[in-house]
Amino acid sequence: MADLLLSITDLKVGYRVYKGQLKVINGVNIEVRKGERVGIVGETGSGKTTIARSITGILPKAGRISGGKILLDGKDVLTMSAHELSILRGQKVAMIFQDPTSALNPVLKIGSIMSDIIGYAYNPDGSRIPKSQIHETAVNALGSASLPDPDRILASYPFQLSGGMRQRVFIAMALATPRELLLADEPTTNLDVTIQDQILRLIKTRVDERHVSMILISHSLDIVSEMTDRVYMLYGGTVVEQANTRDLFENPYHPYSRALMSCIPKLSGGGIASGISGEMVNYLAPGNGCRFSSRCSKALPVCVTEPPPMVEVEPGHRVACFLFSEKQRS
Amino acid sequence: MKTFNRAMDSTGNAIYKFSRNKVSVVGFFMVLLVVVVAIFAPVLAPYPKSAGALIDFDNASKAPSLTHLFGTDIEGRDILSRVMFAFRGALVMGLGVIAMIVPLGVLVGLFAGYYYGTFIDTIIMRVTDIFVTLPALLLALAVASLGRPSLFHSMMAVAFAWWPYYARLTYSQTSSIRNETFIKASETIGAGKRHIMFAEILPNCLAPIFTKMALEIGWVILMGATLSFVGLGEQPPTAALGTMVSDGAQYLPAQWWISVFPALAIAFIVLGFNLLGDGIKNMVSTEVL
Amino acid sequence: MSLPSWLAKRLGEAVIVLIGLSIVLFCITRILPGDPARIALGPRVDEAAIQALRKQMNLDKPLITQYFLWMKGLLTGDLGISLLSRRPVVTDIKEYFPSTLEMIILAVIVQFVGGLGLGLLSAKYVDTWLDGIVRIFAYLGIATPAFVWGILLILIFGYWLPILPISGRLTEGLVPPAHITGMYTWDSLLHGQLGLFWDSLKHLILPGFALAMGVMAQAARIFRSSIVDDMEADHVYAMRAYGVPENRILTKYLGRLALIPAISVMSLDAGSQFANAFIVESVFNFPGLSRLGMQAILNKDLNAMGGILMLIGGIFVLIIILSDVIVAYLDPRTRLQQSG
Repeated sequence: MADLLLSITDLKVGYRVYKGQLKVINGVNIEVRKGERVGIVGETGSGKTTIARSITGILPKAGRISGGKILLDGKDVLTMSAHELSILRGQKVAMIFQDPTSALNPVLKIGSIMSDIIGYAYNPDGSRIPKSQIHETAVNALGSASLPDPDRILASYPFQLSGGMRQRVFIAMALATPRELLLADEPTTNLDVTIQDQILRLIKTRVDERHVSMILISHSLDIVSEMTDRVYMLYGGTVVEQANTRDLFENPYHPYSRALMSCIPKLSGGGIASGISGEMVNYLAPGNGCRFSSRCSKALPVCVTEPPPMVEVEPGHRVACFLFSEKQRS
Repeated sequence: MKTFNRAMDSTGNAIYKFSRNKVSVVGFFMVLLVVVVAIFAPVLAPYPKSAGALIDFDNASKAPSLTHLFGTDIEGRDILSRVMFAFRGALVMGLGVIAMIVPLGVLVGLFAGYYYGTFIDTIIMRVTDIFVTLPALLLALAVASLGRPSLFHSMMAVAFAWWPYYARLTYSQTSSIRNETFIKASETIGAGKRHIMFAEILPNCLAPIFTKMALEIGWVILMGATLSFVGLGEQPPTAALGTMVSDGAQYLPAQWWISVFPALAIAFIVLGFNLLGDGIKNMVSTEVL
Repeated sequence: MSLPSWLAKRLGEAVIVLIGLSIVLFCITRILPGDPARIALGPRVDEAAIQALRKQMNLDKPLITQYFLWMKGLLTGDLGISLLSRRPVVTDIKEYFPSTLEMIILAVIVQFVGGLGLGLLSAKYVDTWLDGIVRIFAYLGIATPAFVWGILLILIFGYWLPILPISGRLTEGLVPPAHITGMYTWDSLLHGQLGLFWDSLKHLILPGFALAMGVMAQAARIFRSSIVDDMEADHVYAMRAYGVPENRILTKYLGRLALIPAISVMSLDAGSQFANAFIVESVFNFPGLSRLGMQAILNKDLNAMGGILMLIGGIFVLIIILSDVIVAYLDPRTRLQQSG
């Protein structure tokens, strides 16, 4: 088994709002090994982006991490010093965002932004890229993202590029210097369908050839099924199921996973997909029990009152559900 | 701007947002104080007769003391009382002018924005351009100086100089909303022009208009004080803050209180409205936290 | 469209607007007040004198002709005779313009440096006591009219701590430098007369600050709030995620973006500053153009009023165009074609 790169243990994150506290992330455990491609699947509002932001330590002002550990290369992100954090962000982890347009400062040239990103990055040995090499690094990076005419792009402003190009710019920035982990937060959600495929393939190729670990966050099952080795299903800020990608898709255990997969219309017929009834979790008062229980057709009384245990139903395949726990309390 | 409705959908939320910013709460109470004092001046003022033409040379030019908190002027009138009465003119100026220019400006802007891209639009906007070219205060000064100085006259002058700004704001809102899909949808199903302008476009413009109004009452009052500083406004013996400042300027520094207290009162009123306006802006804003 | 053609378009629009302004001013100075000649001469003059003045002011001609005559005069530099000083308005203007100019230059420098500097500091230390102080100052500064600032400054620095002069341009008895630009500070520098330079500068400080305070406070506030508003924007997060230090984010990413509304506001406020200059000059007995204009307005010196207001309108238009150019430089979205 390859070395562990990232280990999130029992992470609890909330947001302070005027009505109280949104207890979003509720004890999440996620592992990423070196070179592994991990997917996190969840709907809007399930807390995916919160997890991503917690890893790099860029939560908004209202965000509060109330518990848990995020170990990257053995060091806990949540207790890192400022210098260690800058190494984390400048060398170890790179993020790609859902909306590349809003993530680029509108009044600065791409070259200006990239020179900062490359200039504040670190090489694996701790050194920085010298100023004289920044331009060359940027041009190479743009090239590796299949962007033609890099000099023109460096001299352009974000709004002069198409959505797909902007995301390629981000991919270029993310991989301009060697990284250990790529956090791709819904990288293609805001792009045209025709471009999505290209971008995803680009990401996959580069991640593979550079042996970069990846966390791919998405709400789209098919994207995750193609791009990842292992998947975590996230619902209401909790991991409800985790398995190798193929295992999960062939054999989903958790009622949420099953419901989600049955939502996908099949070419083989079977009528219009049925949705999942019920509403999103109320993070203000989520209760103690399973967060999916209010929408679960198979919910037991215990599901509402007690948090479900994480049970290994097959090797490497775990479910957080009372339906599968050996000890069922009556 | 559609989020304006969402943001206001619960009064509790709105009041919460307002009160989050302690500074705007302070502003609210400041304005409240001004309004109460203005309305009840005859009752609250320690020397109500000072508000008019009183001559009491025994008491003239007295420094601030326990009997005259703000001192007296050279004619023996209690300055505190005069300031309190002067609040009335200030409020009338502020609220009156806003009440005049907002409906007018908004209507014009709405109209021009609805007919965006046409001749009507161009004409109306060029006219407002002209007004905007000259600083409002100067225009108001020029116009106010033409007739016999009075509160009404200076109000008219300020209104004359200020209405175009509301027209332009509404215009820019309207013209951008005008081409949105939901308007086109309404037109397609045959909604009349009046309905579209007032029931569909206007509500979505209201947020910045309210914000501007709230923020600007202070400025209008300031402009009124400036006009009265140069003698265009309420005429003596009626108490007006700007006039009191200019009258007292010649007695600096010895009888500094004659100028300084009315000056501070001006700043107080304007500050109160500014803070209040800020709070209203926050209330109406689309931020979540 | 490219910069030159955009500029040409704006200038063209400006000309149209100025023409419109001239019409408005013409109405104000000729039509609205009734009989300008009567007003100028006062009530106790006989009819013959009034008629003579009317002829001299072209008031006997049809309105349209009057307007064109006035416009012609405007363009050739003949603004008529000041009804107050009996000199050509242009002469009056030329005499008093430089002093106002140097005061405004000082005010602009102060409000730029002070406003942006304070705003930046306040945003960097947001929610601390420093931020609180700057915000209080900003609120007070905005709410206080320029003439009140003038009076307060006079009291504090002119009387209680008498370190700065409160009226005029030079201490009595000093001879102004030989005329090059008419601005005492510049001229004395150019002549190497440092003592004179310092003295004339000292005279500018109080009125300049009184003029600058309001706009400085406004600029600080807008700058600060733009930065603070953007602090949780996506593009800021993106830069943080890549380890760009906060200070750099503050100055380069947030500051650049916030400069746009700050400059827009400052240029809009330039207009009110002209107006405030009128009052500040009166308070400080500063012999400048604005005080001249103020007297023209109060004394219904219609020729001077029309000429000065037209001049100010023209300057204001140029300032707006200038600030538009600056904003276009800062914000590429306004000058380049936008996609989608």
